Amino acid sequence: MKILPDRASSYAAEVDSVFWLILLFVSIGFVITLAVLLYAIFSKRERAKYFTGSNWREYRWVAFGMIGIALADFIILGYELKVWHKTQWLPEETHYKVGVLARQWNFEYYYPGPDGQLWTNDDIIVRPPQDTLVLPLNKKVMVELRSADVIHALFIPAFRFKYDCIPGRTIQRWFEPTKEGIYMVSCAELCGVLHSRMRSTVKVVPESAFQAFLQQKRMEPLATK
Amino acid sequence: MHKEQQSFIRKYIFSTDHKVIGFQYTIVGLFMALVGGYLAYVFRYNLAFPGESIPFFGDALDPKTYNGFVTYHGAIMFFWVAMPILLAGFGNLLIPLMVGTDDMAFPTVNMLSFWIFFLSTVVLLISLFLPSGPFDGGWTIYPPLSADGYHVKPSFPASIATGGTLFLLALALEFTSMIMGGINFIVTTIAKRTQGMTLFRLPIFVWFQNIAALIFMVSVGPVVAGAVMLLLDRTVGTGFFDPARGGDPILWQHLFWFFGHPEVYVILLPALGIIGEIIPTFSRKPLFGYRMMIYLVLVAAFLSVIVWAHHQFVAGIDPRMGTFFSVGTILISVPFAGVILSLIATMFQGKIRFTTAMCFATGMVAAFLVGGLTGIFLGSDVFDIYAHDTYFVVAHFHYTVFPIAILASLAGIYYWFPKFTGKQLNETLGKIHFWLTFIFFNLFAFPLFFLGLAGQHRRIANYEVFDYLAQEPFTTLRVIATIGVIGIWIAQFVFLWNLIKTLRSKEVAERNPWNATTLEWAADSPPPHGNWQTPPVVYRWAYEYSPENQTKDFIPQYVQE
Amino acid sequence: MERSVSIGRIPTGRLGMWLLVVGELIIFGGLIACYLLYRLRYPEWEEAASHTNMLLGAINTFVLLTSSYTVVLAHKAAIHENVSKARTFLLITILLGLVFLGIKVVEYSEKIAAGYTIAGPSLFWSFYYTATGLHALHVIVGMIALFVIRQQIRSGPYLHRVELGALYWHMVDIIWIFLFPLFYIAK
Repeated sequence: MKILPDRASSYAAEVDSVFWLILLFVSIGFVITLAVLLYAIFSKRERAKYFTGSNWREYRWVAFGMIGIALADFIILGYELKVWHKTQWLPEETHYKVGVLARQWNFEYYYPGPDGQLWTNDDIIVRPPQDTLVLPLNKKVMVELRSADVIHALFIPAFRFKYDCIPGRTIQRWFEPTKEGIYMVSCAELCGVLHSRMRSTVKVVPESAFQAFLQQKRMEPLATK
Repeated sequence: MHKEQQSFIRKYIFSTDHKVIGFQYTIVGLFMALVGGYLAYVFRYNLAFPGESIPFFGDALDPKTYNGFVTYHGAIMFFWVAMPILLAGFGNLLIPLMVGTDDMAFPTVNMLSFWIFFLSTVVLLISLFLPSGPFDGGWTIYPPLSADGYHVKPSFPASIATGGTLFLLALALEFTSMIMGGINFIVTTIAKRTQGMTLFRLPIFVWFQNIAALIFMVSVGPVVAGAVMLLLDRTVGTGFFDPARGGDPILWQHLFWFFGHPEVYVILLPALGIIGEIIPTFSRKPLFGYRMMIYLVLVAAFLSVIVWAHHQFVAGIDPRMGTFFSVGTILISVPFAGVILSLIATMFQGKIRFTTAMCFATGMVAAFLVGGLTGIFLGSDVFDIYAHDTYFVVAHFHYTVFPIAILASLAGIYYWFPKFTGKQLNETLGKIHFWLTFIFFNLFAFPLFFLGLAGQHRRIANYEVFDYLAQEPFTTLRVIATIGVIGIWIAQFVFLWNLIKTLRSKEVAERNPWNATTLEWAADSPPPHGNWQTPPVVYRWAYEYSPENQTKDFIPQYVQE
Repeated sequence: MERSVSIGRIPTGRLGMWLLVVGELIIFGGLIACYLLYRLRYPEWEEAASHTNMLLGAINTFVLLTSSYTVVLAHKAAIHENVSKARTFLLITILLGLVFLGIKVVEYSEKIAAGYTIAGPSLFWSFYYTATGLHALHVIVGMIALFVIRQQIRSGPYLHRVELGALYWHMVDIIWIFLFPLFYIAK
């Protein structure tokens, strides 16, 4: 059994590495603390030893523990903030833009039309009954998240990507799909009665196929708009 | 200080005696624990066996009822179980006794706080049974969903009798009651200590209760204002959180979590206080690093009010803010590591006696260790983006809140039961109760980590539409977790049996059965109204166990040498 | 471990009242902080704010400040154990509170007649009614408290409660001192 699901985005591996790094430190801390606890519990004594921990000589063992935790914290933070920077700030150049409009209880996907802008009248829209977000392989994609009613969250586990779709705001983040395939998308923020059924899929295809997909969508009658 | 005979109503219902009020809080809290636990059983069963009818309930849950049940489970366990039992219940029972006074500073206000709390409980339960269904917007009450998505314009009087409005009203009443109670605690501790009871002779429990009351008072104000705003949004049609009218739903999240994170410490500190009394008693050793522990908790309390936005990493907050909140959150691990290590150091080289209370206390420390350490994963903003709103979070906070609200409460109940009832709970049944509770709790909560890591998101009634989450091994893990919940339930019947058996028995407990040092053990069991014939005098700090060059292995605070 | 730290004994009532005042101020602080956040985001609220009645607001500020003075006089009389004088000044304070509420009613009805209700047109009005309404509620509570104290001191050893009532009344006053410039003056 895999602990974390398949990885399909450029930064998924780094997000996972943060997990494994923290798990390493946390496990060490847990094992040591539990060992001391068990030792303390099971060592039999006739009479307890009187010490209060009110001077450094006695308190230092706890202090060392705190220093150890603090050091681990700083190592974790030093590493994870680097990854944070990479995942949160938009890269200088993104190749494509995608808009996500969440509503109760599905996701609609928007691709810029001929004007190259999102959220304009010529957008290419994928809406139910179609529910697949088609994405190009190995291209940086900027995602704009919006909501039409309540707060939702676009969660793509394989991309390690999850952000809220909030009414009245647009959230911009990015990802770069790195593996062809079909992945699960779910809504990760309680959004009402049918939250339990709000889902969608992501399909990562080579760039040429992606272009063909856009072309074909453009040909579709505009009646659905 | 003996009061004359009072009527039944004055004595047991509208009583101003801190012990009766403490009992009232605890009993309401335990009753609500049954309600919250029942809801947990129902929706856990539904998750393990989707679509099947649920024993002791009825048909499989529809998504709306499911959402309602998880909402109420969360809110009840926090605000109607942990708060009344740990803060109000134990605080009321113990603080006046531990500081050596006859009652709270404001007994009438104390009684009033309880009845406001009782009213809030009634309002909450009414909202659960409304014909329009219970509130189903999550215990964090995020608008616009909690304002019915703002699609419906409220029509004024009718909009009050809806689940969400009553839910908010109940919460506001509960907050009011707890603020009043907290003021009572602080004033009692500062102004009503008996002769010789200096601040640094107070038992750690009293310190932690007061710090908890203080954090609560400082953090709850903004969310009270927020609750008023949301109530107006729901009832008279303001748009404070409605983006269509210039409002901002994120504002609610700030107000809520500015309170919500410290709130965890408001229930954690009384629990640690209980543990901090029990461990020295049964290790026959002074509490390790007593003063340092107080300072560390004050640091943690301060940090707790500046890290709230770690609940909002996925809400598109500015990445620089994410950095700040991540650093603050992860650094909270340092003071709490100090506290937990000090508790373990208290056991170190002690003469440990495993009573049921001690078992629960040790179990609480061990389980809370898992909860605390997994907090580091979620404090890391990078990983939180992935883990947010998955079962990893659910597992994490059950590993913190269950040890706090259940294990520590039970530890306290076993420990102080002889003092307040005059009878001692059966130890054999108590140990069975402990082991069943502890094992089944782990069986319930540990699989949730794996489910969360696999990407299983929260508040879903049925995973059948979510590809691989509907497959093995996840279905089995969900069944295991559900067996854990049922097991926890079975364990509580052992407790119930123990309670009934003990209360019916004629055996009388000793005044100080555990050979403990703090003041409450100097009073009669149960203490009469007014607590003392003559107020006790305090001669030393609270943890003089196994002093050197003495034959006795403890000297109580109230004994002059 | 045996270092004793002791603090002077503080009267419980005063301490409790101070804590209550702090708690209340934090609640209003939260509300005012929300208002300020929105106000900074929407400069166009200036226009809405210009429709509040600054004259009536100013008169109310004056009324409330005067009532704070009379409650101080009541407290002073209570210290000198002059019950009848304390009761007179408490009565004047309560009457001034009534005047404040009366002016508030005039103000509200004027606004509602002009179409500015709690539900709009702008969120500014929602804040206006919520903040001043919540404050008015506290004025009413304060008046009831002062009235009860006024009854109690007539027959009984409750003179110290005048101070507690006065403390609460000062808090009500201070909150208004914040609300007045934020809703009436800042344009």
